Amino acid sequence: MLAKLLKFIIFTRFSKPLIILFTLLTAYYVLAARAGIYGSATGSISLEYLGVGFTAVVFGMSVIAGGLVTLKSDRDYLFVLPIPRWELAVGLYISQLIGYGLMILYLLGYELRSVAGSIGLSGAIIGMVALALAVTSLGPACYSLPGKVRGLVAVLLVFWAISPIFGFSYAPSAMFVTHGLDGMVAAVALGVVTTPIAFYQLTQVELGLMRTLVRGTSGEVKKQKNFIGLSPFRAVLSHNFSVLEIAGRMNVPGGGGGYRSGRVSLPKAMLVTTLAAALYAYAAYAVRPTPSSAPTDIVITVVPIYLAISSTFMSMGTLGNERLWLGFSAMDPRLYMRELVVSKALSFFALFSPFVAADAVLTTMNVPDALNSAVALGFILPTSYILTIYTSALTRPVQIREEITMPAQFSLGQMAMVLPLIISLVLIVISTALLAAALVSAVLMMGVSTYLVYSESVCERALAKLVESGFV
Amino acid sequence: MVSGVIPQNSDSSLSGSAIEVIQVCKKYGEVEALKGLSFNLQTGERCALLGPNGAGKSTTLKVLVGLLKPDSGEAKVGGFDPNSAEARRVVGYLPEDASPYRTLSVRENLEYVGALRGVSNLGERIDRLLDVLALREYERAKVGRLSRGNSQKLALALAIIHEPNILLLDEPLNYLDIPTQERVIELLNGLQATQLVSTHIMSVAGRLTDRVVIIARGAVIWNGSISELKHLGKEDEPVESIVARMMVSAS
Repeated sequence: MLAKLLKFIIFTRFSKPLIILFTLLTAYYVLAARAGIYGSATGSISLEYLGVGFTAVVFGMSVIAGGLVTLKSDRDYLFVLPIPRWELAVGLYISQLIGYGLMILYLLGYELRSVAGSIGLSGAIIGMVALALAVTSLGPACYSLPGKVRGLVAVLLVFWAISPIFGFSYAPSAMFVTHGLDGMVAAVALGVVTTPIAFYQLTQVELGLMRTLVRGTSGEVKKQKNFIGLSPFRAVLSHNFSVLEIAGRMNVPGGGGGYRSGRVSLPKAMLVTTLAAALYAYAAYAVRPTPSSAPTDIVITVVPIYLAISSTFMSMGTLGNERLWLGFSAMDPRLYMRELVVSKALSFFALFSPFVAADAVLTTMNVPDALNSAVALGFILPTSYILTIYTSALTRPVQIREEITMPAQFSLGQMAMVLPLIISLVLIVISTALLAAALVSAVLMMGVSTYLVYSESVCERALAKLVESGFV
Repeated sequence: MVSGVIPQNSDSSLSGSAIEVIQVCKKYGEVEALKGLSFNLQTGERCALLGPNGAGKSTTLKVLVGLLKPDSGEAKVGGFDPNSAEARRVVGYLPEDASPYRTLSVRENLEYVGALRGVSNLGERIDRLLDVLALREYERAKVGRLSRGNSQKLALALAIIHEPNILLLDEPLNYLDIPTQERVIELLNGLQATQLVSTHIMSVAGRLTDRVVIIARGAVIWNGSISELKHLGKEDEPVESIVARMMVSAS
């Protein structure tokens, strides 16, 4: 019975091609690490720090966007079936593990070789599996906590994840730097603590009420926006520029338990990014290269990469939250889409502008590569946002009609959403190293984005795809 | 075709027509959703678009609102191409399972869409709609937190906020409780707009319209008034039974 249930749960959430890809990727990473044919990351400071950063990202995401990988049909049909709760819990947990496993594999699979070099392949596999279990468990373990507490837990976990940068070795992410054994032990310890809690929660929670249980925020908009008297253009700008809509787990391989969205005013968000940019500037200046150290400033190399990753999650809700029958029917759809996308990209630029300003200040203080980073953040990030929106529209767009449950099955087609992220990551890495590359990348991305935004045929194809995909 | 079918007319004089659908074909991949669909509505007319699941009702409305382009044939609303700015000004559209902007409040949705449409006296219109549709107490509520019925009421308000001359409604009474259904029927019957109402439910068609276009497999199988439709059956035969017979024989 459990095997049947598990098969049902997995195949209703993940398409077969995606499962096959997942299996092949896992096999590839393990075999490559075992054979030693995969390029070792040891010695590459950037890759070590990427491992630490990615762990911080998945910890934060798991707690903030966490919950259960459930479909609406689960709530309507599966949860009311006479299935023992523990079987349901096991099924849901394993489905969740695959979801997160995909993301960890995607983000951290390349690290297996370097971890194996430090503590052996078995140790590396144990550490990575423990990390996957821990990340999987954090969502269900924390989802019933009030929003503010969850936020605090997320912040603490993120700090713990980045602590190896400051020399603390008892963190799961320490596996990726020079403390393989300590990191593995910490990952196993975290997995051992969080997994039983997750199971307990999964067996106890009233699944039918899940939708209301996870809603910790107010149902009212406290500060109402006023659109009266605005022209159509200013209304679109006001709606899309001054408010950030952050969506969780859409069109990405794994991560999170269900879609959530929230709106944050741009000034508030900019306050946070300004503080973060100040910390960034301080850290970048503190670790600036000396003649005897590495040739690049590691902070300047790594931070834009994390910003690019976080930007993907902000772009997810842009189309998913759009309503064809409203905005697209009230105005010329091509014009509306253009204004929507440009407003969002500008909003995005404004959000990350404190980092650009920080880079400008660092440039005046002769910190190497800061100017490159400014170009990358100022041009590549907002334009990759546009690329992500159009890639989503033209491949496998999914409209969000209900929160918490999954809007659609994870499929290979949705992996196309990762392509713009990969492109922007590659361009950012190259750009931070070389100013000429930064300038060329900026021009290239601006050109592609301008084409996408102004091409009538692209817009018509995107609209047709949205309608065919069931957008209303 | 069922007996009593009015032959489709692709070249009749359509002057004064608010809605014209002339030999429209639309495919989704290999699936033919509309196969030479033709009908028209005169200005001020109220017509129900009836048909079984998958008949092409929603596709027809999407073509008329400009969200889909016909592969062949022609559609016009108010004499304009559905994709034109003129058409957008005169058409109001309520899709099935309509969902307003989730992260905006009820009032913000009305203000935003009103601003996009350049509605004058927007504040007054919003206040009137909030009162008529009993949404006042939810004015500040996020749409994501509304019940399905209240969300449907808001969707209807959004469809008529610009006082359109032509209304395209897809199952407008879905999710509404009986008192609200009566309120909405009264509201829609009080509007001067030409209305094309897509529905599965004959009683809804009877309350909102006086003419019926029945489609099946993407083509019109019957077109006429509700009283004509009733005369097609035996004495005391429910009109639903007549419609069902037509649909079955068409498929």
